[in-house]
Amino acid sequence: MTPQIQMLIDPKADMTKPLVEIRSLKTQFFTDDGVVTAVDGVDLDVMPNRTMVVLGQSGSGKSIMARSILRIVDQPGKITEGSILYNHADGRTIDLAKLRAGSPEVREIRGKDISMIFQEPMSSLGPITKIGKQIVETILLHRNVTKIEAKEIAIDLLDRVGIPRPAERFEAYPFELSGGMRQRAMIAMALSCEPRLLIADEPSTALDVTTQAQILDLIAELKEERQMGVMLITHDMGVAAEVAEDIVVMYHGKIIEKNDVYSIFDAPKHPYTRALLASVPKLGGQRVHRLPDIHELLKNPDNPPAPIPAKPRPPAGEPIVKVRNVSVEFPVGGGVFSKPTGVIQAVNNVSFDVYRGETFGIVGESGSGKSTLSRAIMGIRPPTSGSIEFLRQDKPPTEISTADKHQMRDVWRDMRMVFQDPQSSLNPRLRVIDLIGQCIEKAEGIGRKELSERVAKLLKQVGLSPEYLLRHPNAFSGGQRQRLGVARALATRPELVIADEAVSALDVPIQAQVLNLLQDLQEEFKLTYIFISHDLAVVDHICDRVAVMYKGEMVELLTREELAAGPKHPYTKSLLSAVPIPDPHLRDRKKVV
Amino acid sequence: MTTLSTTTPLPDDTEVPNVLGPWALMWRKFKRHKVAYLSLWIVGFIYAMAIFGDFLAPGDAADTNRRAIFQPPQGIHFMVEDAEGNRSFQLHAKQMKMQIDRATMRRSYEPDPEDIIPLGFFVRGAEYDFWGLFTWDRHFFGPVDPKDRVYFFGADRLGRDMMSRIIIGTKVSMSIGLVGVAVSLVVGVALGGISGFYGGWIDNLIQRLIEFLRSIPTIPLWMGLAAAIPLGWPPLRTYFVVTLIVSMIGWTSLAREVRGKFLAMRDEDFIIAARLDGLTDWEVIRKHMVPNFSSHIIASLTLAVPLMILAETSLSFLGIGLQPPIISWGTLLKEAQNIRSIVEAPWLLIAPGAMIVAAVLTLNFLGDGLRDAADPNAH
Amino acid sequence: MLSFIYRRMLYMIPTVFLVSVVTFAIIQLPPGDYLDTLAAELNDSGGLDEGTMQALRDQYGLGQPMYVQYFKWMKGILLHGNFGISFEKNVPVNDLIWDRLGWTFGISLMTLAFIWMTALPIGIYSAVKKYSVGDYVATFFGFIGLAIPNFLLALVMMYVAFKYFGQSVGGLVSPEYLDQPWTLEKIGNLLSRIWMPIVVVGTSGAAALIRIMRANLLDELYRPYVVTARAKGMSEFSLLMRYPVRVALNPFISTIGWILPTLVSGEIIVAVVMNLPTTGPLLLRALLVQDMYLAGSLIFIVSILTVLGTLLSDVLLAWIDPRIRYQ
Repeated sequence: MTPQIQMLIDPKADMTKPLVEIRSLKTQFFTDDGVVTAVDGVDLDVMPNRTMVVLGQSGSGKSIMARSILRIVDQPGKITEGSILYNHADGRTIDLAKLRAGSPEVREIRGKDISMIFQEPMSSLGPITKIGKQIVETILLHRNVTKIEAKEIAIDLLDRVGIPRPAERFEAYPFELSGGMRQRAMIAMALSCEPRLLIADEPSTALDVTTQAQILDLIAELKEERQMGVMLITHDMGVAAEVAEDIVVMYHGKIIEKNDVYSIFDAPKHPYTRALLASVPKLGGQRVHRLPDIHELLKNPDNPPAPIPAKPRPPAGEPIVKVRNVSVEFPVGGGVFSKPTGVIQAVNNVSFDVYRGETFGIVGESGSGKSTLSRAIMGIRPPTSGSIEFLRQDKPPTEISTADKHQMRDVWRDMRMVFQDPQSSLNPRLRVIDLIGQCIEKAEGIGRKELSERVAKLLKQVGLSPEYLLRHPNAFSGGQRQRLGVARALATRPELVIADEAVSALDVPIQAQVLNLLQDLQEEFKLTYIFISHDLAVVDHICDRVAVMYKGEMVELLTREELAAGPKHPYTKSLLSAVPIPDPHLRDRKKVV
Repeated sequence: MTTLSTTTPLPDDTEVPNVLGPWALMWRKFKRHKVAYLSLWIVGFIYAMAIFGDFLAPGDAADTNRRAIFQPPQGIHFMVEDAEGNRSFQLHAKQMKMQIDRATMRRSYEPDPEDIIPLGFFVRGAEYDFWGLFTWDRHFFGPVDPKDRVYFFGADRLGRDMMSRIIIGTKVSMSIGLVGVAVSLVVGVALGGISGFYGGWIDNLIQRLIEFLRSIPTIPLWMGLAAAIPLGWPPLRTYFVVTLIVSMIGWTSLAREVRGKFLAMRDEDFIIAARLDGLTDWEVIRKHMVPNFSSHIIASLTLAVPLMILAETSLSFLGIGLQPPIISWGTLLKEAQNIRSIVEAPWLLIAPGAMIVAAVLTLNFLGDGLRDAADPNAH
Repeated sequence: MLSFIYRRMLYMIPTVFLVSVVTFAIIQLPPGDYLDTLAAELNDSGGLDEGTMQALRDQYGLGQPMYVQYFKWMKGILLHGNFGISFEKNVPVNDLIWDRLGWTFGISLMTLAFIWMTALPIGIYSAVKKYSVGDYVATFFGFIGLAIPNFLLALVMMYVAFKYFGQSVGGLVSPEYLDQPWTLEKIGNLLSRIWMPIVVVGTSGAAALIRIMRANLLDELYRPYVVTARAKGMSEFSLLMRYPVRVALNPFISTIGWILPTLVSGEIIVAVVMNLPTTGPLLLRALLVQDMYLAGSLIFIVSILTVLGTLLSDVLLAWIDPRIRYQ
C-alpha cells in the first residue's frame, strides 16, 4: 500500500449517509419498434462500506440501472424520470439525473468517486493501448500528480491487485494477458483514484470458476481495505450468496425485494425471489429428483410443492461408448511456407466407458479439453490417437476414429448432439419443420405430410406447441430455442445424446426447465447422456458419474456419491471449493485454491 | 407415455410477436430505408428504359441531320395561340433555325416562334426492330409528324438526337453492368467458395491470385487488354470481350466476401449440426450456407454493377473499349472529349454525364440499403 | 517485425512474377510481331537495314518460342535495366518514361495526402454525429463523389474553369512556362494548377474513405472499451481520439493497399483528359499505335511500383498495430 492511499481516506467521512440515493428512476430506450422501459421506478440507497449485490436475470434492467448512475447508458437510452442524488464527501449533493451526461460535474465523479468494472475484460480495455497507459491516463485525469508519479502509482496498483511482475505488465497490451489478469488490471484502473463506490457489472461471469473466486476475493479484500462501497451486479445466486452484505433483486426493471443477504436467502418474501432460489441446482445441498419449475412456483407461491428426493438410479447397463487412450492434438504456428511449430495437446490419453442408460458428466474449465473430447466422440474432429468404440443395440460396434463419412452418417442417427448456443446452432433461414425434420428426411426419406406429423409430435414432446411448425427460429425465445435443439437431437430416436454446455447460455429458471426436460426424456426414451459443462452444480444435479478434465487430462472419474463425499484429486477439490454456493451460511467454508 | 409437466406454457415466453421469415424481415428493414427504396424504383425505371429503349426514344438514334449540327436542346411548350389570339392546349416544340456567322464560321440557333412542331404520345416515327421480335414504328413521345425532328437534349456534331442516343445507349451501358456482374458472380462465388470451404493450399493460391489482381492498377491493365481488341471485330464480340475485361477485377471482391462467409460459417454450430443431421457437403452448402449469405451476395452484386458501368464508360471514353457505331454512354462522352466541343455544346457532356451519375448513384444507394437490410447487426 | 517484413517480401515475389507475365502477354497480344511493324515503318521511311533487323531479332528472340522471348525480355530488364525500344519514336523506352512516371507517382501520392486530410476528419465527424445534417451532407457528397467518373469530373472542372474563369487548364504549367527551367515562378504556376488534378483524382477515393472511416468508427463507437473510457471520466473528445479513432484508423490505413492502385488508375485517365505530362497520355498513345514495348514497360513499372507501395502500407500498418506485429 502506498502512503497516498491512506491519506485519501477521510476518517471523518460519514458512514451512515448514503453515497447515492436513487429515487423513482426510470430509464427508457427509444427504439424504432417502440419504447422499452429498462429501469422502471427504482428507489435505492447505496451505502458506503457495504457490498450490495444487484441480482437479476438477463433483461431485468440491473446493468442499465447501474449505468444510469454514471450516466453511461448507450443511445438510444435516456433517463426519463427520477433522480440520482450523489452525496460528495464534502457534503455537497448533486442530482446526476438532471445533469448532461457528458458535463464536467458528471465526469468529475466518474472514475474518481464512482468507478466501474465490466464483464468482458478483453473488450472493456482499449485493444491497442498499453495497460499501463490506460491506468496512468485515469490517474492523470483526476489526481494532481506528475506522469512519473502516476506511473509509480499504477505499478503499485498492479502489484496490489496481484499481477506478477507489474513493471513489465505495465508495458503489456491487453491481448497479451489472460482473462483473469485483464480483469485484475481493470480493477487496478478502477481503484486508481480511490473511488468511494465501485460498481462491478458481472465482473466474474466471463471467467473460470477458480479465477472467479480469486477476483471476488480480491474485490472483497479491497473493499475492506479501502472502506468503499461496492455494488456488484450479477445473475449468479452463488456469487451473490458468497459476497453480498445486502441484496437487491430486480425483475422486469423493478426492484422486487431488498434486504440483507441472510434474510433474502433464508426467508425470501417475493414469490419470484423464492422461485429463483428454488430453481437453482445446489452443489452439496439436498439432492432432488427434479428442479422446481418456476411456473408452478409462481402459480402456487404460498405452498410450493415439496422437493422430491432423488431416486436411486437403476444399475448401469452395458457400455455404449468405450473411450481408450484418446489424444487430440492441434498444430500451432507455422505459415504458408513453414511447418507448424508445435502442437497443443487438447486431450491427452483419456480413457473411460459410458454405460447405457446413465448420464455421464464431463466437467472442466475453459481449455480443459472437454469440448474437444466431445467432438472427438461425435466424430467431428477425429482423435490423433486412441480408439472410440460406439456399441449400439442390434448393430455391430463402430470404431469412430476410423469410420468414413458414410459410416459416420449412420452413426449420427444414433448419436446426437445438443449444442450450447441455441441461437447459433439453429440456421436462421430454415423453418422449424426443416430444422428438426431434415435428419428424419435424410435418414428415412419420408414424405412431407408424414414428416410434419412426426415433427409436430416431437414439438409436443419437448413442450412446444405443434403450431410452431412453420416458424423461423427468430420467432422463439432462448429457452424455446433450446427445446428445439433437444427436439432435433431426438428426431432420429438416438441411443446416445451428447449435450455440450446445453444449459450454460440460459437463465436459471429456464435452465431448470431444460434440465427437467432432459431428465423426463431420458426416462421416456431410455437415453444415455454425455453431459458436458463447466458448472459443477449442474453436473452434480443431473449426472450419475463425472469425469473431471484439467488441461487435457482426465484427473478423476467419480460417481455422484463419491463427489458428494469429497473428491480426492487436489484439482477437483479446488474446483469444488471455488464454486460459489447459493447459501450465505456456507460462505466461510475452507477454500482450497 | 409419461405426461410431461413441461407442456404448460413456457417461462420466458413473453410471446415473440414476429413470425416473419428472414426475407420478409429484410424487406421490411429495406423499405424503412427511404432513399434506397426510392432508388430501387429509379433503377427499375432505368432498366425499363434499357428494355423499351426503341419505343421510348423519340427518334432514330443513328439519324444524322446536317441542319441540326450542334443544335441546342429544345423545350416543350404547352399552349399555342392561333391567329385570333385564342390560346389552346397543344404540346409542341419550337423549330430552331440555324444561322452561320460567315466571319467566325460559327453556328447559332434561334427558336422560331411561328414554326411549331406538334408533339404527342404514341406517335408514328422511325421504324425499329424490337429485340428481334417484331418491327414497329410507334414511339412513346415525339413529333406527331414523322418527318419532323426534335432535339430535347440537343444534337451532336452530326446532328443526331442526343436524347434518342442516350436512351438507346442505356441498353449497352446498363447491360454491361449486369453481364459483367453475372460473370463476376460465377467466377467469384466458385473460387471464393472453393477457397473458403476447402482452405489449405488451394485457398492460399486463390488468395494470392486475388491479391495480385487487386494490387495492379486496373486502368492500365484494362487499357492494355482492351487495346488488343482488333478494330475490325463485330460489335457484339467487342461488347463481350470488353465485358469480360471489365469483370476481371470485379470478381475478386466478391470471391473475398464469399470466402470470408464460408470461413466464418464453416465452424458455426448450425453447419456442424447440419452435418450431424447426415447431410452431405454439397447439401450443407446448398441448403444452409448459400441461403445464409445470399442476401449479402445480392447487396455486393448491386454495388458491383455501378463499378462495371464506370469501367466501361472510362474505357469507351478513352477510345479503347467499345467503338462507334455501338452507342453507349461512354462512346457518347467520347464526343465531349475536348474542351472546344464542350464549350460549343455543353449538352454533349451534361446529358450523358447526368445519366451515368444518376444510374451509378441510385445503384449505390440501392446496394447500400440492401446491405444494411441484410446485416442483422447494422446499427 | 523484421520477420513480418521478410515474410511480406517473400509474398511479393510471385506477385512480381505474375505482373511480368501478364505484361508480357499484353505485349504479345496484338497480332503480328513488332519487327513486322517496324519493318513496315522503316520501309516507308526509306531504308531497311538487314543487319539492324537481325540484331533486334536476336535481342528479343523474335521468332523463337514464347518463353525464350519472355526470358530475353526479363533478362534485359533485370540485368541491364533495358526496357526495349519504342518503335514509334525509335528511342529506348528508358528515355521516355521516367520523368512521366515521376509525375504520375508524385501526383498520386499528393492525392493520397489530400484524400487522407479530407476523409479522416469528415469520416470521424460523420460517425460521431450520426444522422445529423452534417452527416447527411457528407454522406450525400460521398455518394456523389463515388458516382462521378473522374474523367467526367475533370471535364466539368475544365469547362467551369474555362467558361467562368477564362483559364485554360491543360497541362501542369501554363504554356509559357513549358520549356522554361524550374524557377520560383514556374513552381508557383505549377502549384496554382496542380490542385485541380489532385482534387479530381482524389474525389472518389476520398468519398470511399469517408464511408470506410465512418463505418469503421461506428463499429467501434459502441464497444465496451469506449464505455470504460467514459466511465473513467474522460471528456468525449479525448476518449474518442485516444480509443475508437485509434482502433478504427488501422483498417483505414490498410486501405492504402487498394487505394493506391485506384489512384494510379485514376491519374492515368485524368491525365489523358487534362493533358498532363504523366504516363497516361503516353500509355494511351502507345497502345493506340501498338508501340508495345513502351506500353508494356509502362504497365509493368506502374504495377510494380504500386505493389511496392502496398508493401510499404502493410509494413506501416504492422508498425502501428501491435496485434498484427505479434501474429
